Amino acid sequence: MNDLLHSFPGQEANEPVFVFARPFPLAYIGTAIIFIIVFAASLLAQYGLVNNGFGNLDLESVRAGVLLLGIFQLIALTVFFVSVFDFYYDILIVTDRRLVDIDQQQLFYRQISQLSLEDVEDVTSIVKGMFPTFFNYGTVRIQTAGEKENFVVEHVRHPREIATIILDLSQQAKEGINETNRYPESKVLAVINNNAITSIEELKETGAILPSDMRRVVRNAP
Amino acid sequence: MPLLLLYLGLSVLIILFNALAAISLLRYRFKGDKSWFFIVLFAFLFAVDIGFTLTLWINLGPSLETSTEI
Repeated sequence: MNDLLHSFPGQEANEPVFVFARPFPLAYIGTAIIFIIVFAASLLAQYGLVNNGFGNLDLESVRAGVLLLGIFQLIALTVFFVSVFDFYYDILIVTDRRLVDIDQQQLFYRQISQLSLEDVEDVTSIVKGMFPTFFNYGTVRIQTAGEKENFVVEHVRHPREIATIILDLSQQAKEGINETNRYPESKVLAVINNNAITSIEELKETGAILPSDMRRVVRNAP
Repeated sequence: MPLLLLYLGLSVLIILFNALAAISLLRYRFKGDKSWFFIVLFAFLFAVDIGFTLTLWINLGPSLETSTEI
């Protein structure tokens, strides 16, 4: 089991996490409803077959139909299972020195991309639609310097706050501030597991930063 | 009967595939995430679905005979 201080390969021992964002479950509701309708329709068809709902079929045909629909349901459940994990295991991580985009593309295909904060050119947050506006989730698009591929993370909560944190940390990196002294200066310090965090104590409770980390105290010292 | 065997064989294969997938995905879970919830939910759905289909199949003969008599 991973904790936030061991969340991706190559993470350093005292590398704190300021953003750990998964897609917001509500964004999956549309796909889930389609699966539920298809599944319910096949259950009804099975029930209809048994109760002669499709005319007077002979016993063997009905038996074959029931089992074929049963196989269809198992395959549909498998597709649903794969799709849920494909959605749930897409993760954006932002630390004091890099961005990590974990992309679960299929069941056995996982892509992990990393980007230095110095290479961030621009960050855009997009909230589009009624549900995203109500529940504050959307897309964060991170434009990179040079020919590196842009990062696009969809359906994450607090996209505006995430964009601000990334821009803030990236600015500090470009100013040459040492990575152990980088710290988001926005009102929202971090977004962990879709929750906006506003105090260092709360952030320490999530395990995203070492309890002994003193970067804010050092930065704010006269 | 061969169809029932095909169904049972496929069920076992599909469940094995899903179990392997779940085991491999669990390596990537994070403290406090909902991976176990999803795995238990899907295991329950698979069990209920297989149970439902087999119950229908087993009760099929008598129910059709009854409906024909009526």
